[in-house]
Amino acid sequence: MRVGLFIPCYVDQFYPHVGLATLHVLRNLDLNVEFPSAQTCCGQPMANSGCVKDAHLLAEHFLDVFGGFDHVVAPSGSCVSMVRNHYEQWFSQDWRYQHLRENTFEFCEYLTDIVGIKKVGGEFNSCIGLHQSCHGLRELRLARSSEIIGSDFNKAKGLLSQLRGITLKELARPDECCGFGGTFAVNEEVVSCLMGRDRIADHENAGVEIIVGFDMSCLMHLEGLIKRAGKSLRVMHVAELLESARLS
Amino acid sequence: MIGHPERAATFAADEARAHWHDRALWFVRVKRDRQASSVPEWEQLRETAAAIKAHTLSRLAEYLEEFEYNAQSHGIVVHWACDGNEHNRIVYEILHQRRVTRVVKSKSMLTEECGLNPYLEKRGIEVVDTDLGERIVQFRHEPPSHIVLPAIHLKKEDIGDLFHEKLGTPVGLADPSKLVEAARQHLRQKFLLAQAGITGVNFAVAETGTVVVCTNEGNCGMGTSLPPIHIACMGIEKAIPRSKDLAVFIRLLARSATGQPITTYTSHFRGPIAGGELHVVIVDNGRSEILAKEKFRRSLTCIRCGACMNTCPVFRRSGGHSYGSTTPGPIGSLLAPLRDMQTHRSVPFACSLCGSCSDVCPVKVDLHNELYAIRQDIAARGLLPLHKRLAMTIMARVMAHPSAYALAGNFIRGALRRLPRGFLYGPWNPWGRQRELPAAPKRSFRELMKERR
Amino acid sequence: MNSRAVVLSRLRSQKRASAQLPDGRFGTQCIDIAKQFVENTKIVGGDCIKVTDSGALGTAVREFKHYKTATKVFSQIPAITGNVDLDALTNPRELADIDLAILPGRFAVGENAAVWLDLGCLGPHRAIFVIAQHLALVVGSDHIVATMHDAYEQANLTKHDFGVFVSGPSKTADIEQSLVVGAHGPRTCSVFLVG
Repeated sequence: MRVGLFIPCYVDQFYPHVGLATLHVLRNLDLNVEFPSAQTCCGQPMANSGCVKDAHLLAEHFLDVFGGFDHVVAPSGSCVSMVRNHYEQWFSQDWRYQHLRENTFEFCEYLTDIVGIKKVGGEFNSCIGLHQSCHGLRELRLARSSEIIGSDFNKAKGLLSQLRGITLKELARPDECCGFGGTFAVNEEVVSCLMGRDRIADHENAGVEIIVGFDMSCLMHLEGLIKRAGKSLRVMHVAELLESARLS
Repeated sequence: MIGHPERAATFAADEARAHWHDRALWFVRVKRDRQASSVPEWEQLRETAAAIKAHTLSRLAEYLEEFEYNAQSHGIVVHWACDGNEHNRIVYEILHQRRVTRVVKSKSMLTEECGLNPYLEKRGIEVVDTDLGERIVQFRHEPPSHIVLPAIHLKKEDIGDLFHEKLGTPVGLADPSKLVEAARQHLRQKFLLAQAGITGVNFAVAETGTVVVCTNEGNCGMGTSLPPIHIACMGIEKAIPRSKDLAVFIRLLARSATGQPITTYTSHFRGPIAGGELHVVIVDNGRSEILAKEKFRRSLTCIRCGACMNTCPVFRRSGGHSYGSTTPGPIGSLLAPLRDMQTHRSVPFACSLCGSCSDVCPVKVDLHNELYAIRQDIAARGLLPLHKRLAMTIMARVMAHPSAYALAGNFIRGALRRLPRGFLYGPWNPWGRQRELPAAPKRSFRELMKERR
Repeated sequence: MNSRAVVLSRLRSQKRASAQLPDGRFGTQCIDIAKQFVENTKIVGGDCIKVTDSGALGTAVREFKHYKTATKVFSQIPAITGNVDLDALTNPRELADIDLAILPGRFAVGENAAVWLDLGCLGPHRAIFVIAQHLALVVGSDHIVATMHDAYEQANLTKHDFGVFVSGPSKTADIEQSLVVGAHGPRTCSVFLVG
């Protein structure tokens, strides 16, 4: 079983420790994880801008790099959603895509649904707030979104809540968008930052010390606002937190 | 060109007001959640509503003909309009032939879309919008900022000042119940003097030829039961097959729109009032064109509840007027560019693609996916700003080659570490206006992995 | 080609996959429909007055506060005689001074406190349901159905020239989302539940 590690471009460049944490958590589960270094980007920024040809170029490259793996895992909901939900328009007949569409996973869902972790070991003594990034939440259904009427489930929470010493704080708006949205963060900068500051205020009011999420893109935006405001809140990826807890 | 980003920036810059607007609409979203939770089969209802609409649209011509036949057999006069101008002409002719000069109107987004009010007013017909929020924006000569809550952008003090000027209420009166009382007395006179009433149509039942209108204030009842002439204006997409289908939509509509279990009045018109007339104007105005586009067809199933606006984190912080179209928010960001892509090319990007709208939509319009798709059409038509197009092409070319990507990454991180702050956070950097850039590590993940080998 | 032909031909010229019309049945988990109706009546800003039987209805209405303070009463129920003579009216505008309208509801709906009124029989005077200052509706408590699905299965629902579901008094929240009960229609809506 070959598991390909898919590290989003911005994680590769700006948050390598998240990539390392993901790798270590997966390897620690005795998975045969490889990092195909020819990977670059899934094409989401281009696709979200409507630049289909540009996105297609990168999607082709993605298929070339990851086509041979049994599973592909990424510490990102939005990149995985791009592959599973938006590559269809180019590759519906491509056998490599047929396989990847069913076998590309976000980190939390991989641990919960595929590896089937029953017990998460470790300690993490902090008050954390879960930031539920939109694409992972509503496109990959990593949890029941607050709009949907049905039974509750939450894959990220399911993993984190098992850690000893951790406190998961309740937010006023548990799944409102942080305002990153890719190029939205720059095109609609004023609204984007207002949305981000509102998320931060929600976490602060709840007594959160660390905002935890499964998408570094959202956390990058929130961290940017936190740092500019000189606040003491921190941000962490779920993989980082699990790895840190495991090592403790 | 001034588009959504510029207008939104102005709105959101007044943070106190933006937060107040955001809280007001979030409150409506919360009420929606409460009511939706009280219906355990809510998701099934949505699925069924979507299926009824999909079926209806697949045979729309037949259903419209069935509606017309049944409506006519009960004395309803049915008219057809290819576009907004024709709709206005038809309504005007009906009124003009009967020497009507005083009309009351109950909310109809279709008549807004067609520009009916100014058309009639230019021809000497007084049109009074009787929905309280619509009357308020009519007084202010501005468009509604929300399809269900037209005056949600105004504070009670703003309305108090307006009513002082227009209705003679005391200076500084801002108590909503007293303001509503003043509007009640004022509009009562208008209802009593009206010679015709114009309404929209929520649902047109093909099986029985019935027109259904859902309202809360009583203005539809007053406007259609006092004057002898009632003109009901509907888009072609309002048809539904059977009476029993109404149950699905009525259960979803008010719960989604305002968090009520049902609107106060659900009026079923099947024939004219005794001694009077009932006219229905069926309007295309670009809808058949949208219907022809497979990718965007589902946007036509919209039942105009406004839930997408209430849940949209961008709408709540930028206000309906920043969208520049009759219908704002997520659904408006589809319908406006579908009608006029050049003018409305910025609104599909006024969206972080969070998908909350798609999850609240009672008829399961896949709003955020259609917004994603229409961006591709906008780019294909060459309507993206040049710098955006160039940036994406350059990025794609670089990232298609691992070595070029790695080099570019190193270069950028190096620059971020070395360049002076004043330069990095200059006016060319919109990210840096209110945010710090991410710290630039010496080694990327792939470099760390290389070192390990 | 006239506009009707143009619009229909535009629609017919499009090739579209046919989609099935769903015909499912929605049940209800509600055990006490009457109780649900009473609770929802309060939620929608109305009130509910329970009357043991039709014999007691007259007394209940005569003791009803809006009846006691009314000058002009229109009644369509046998137990109460109003003082508005529809035959003497030449114009529905003359209904403007009705203080209280008492109308029979054919049935009511538990999930949303809606009461169905067949008003075609009022002819040109159907404005009564919305122009009166106060509205009183009379419904048999054994005529409450659970959901709108049950409601639309009632016979001949959309076969009258005009019928309306009324749920509570007229209301608006158009001013800063502040709920104000009593907009352009009746200021209050009271349901007399008989039996």
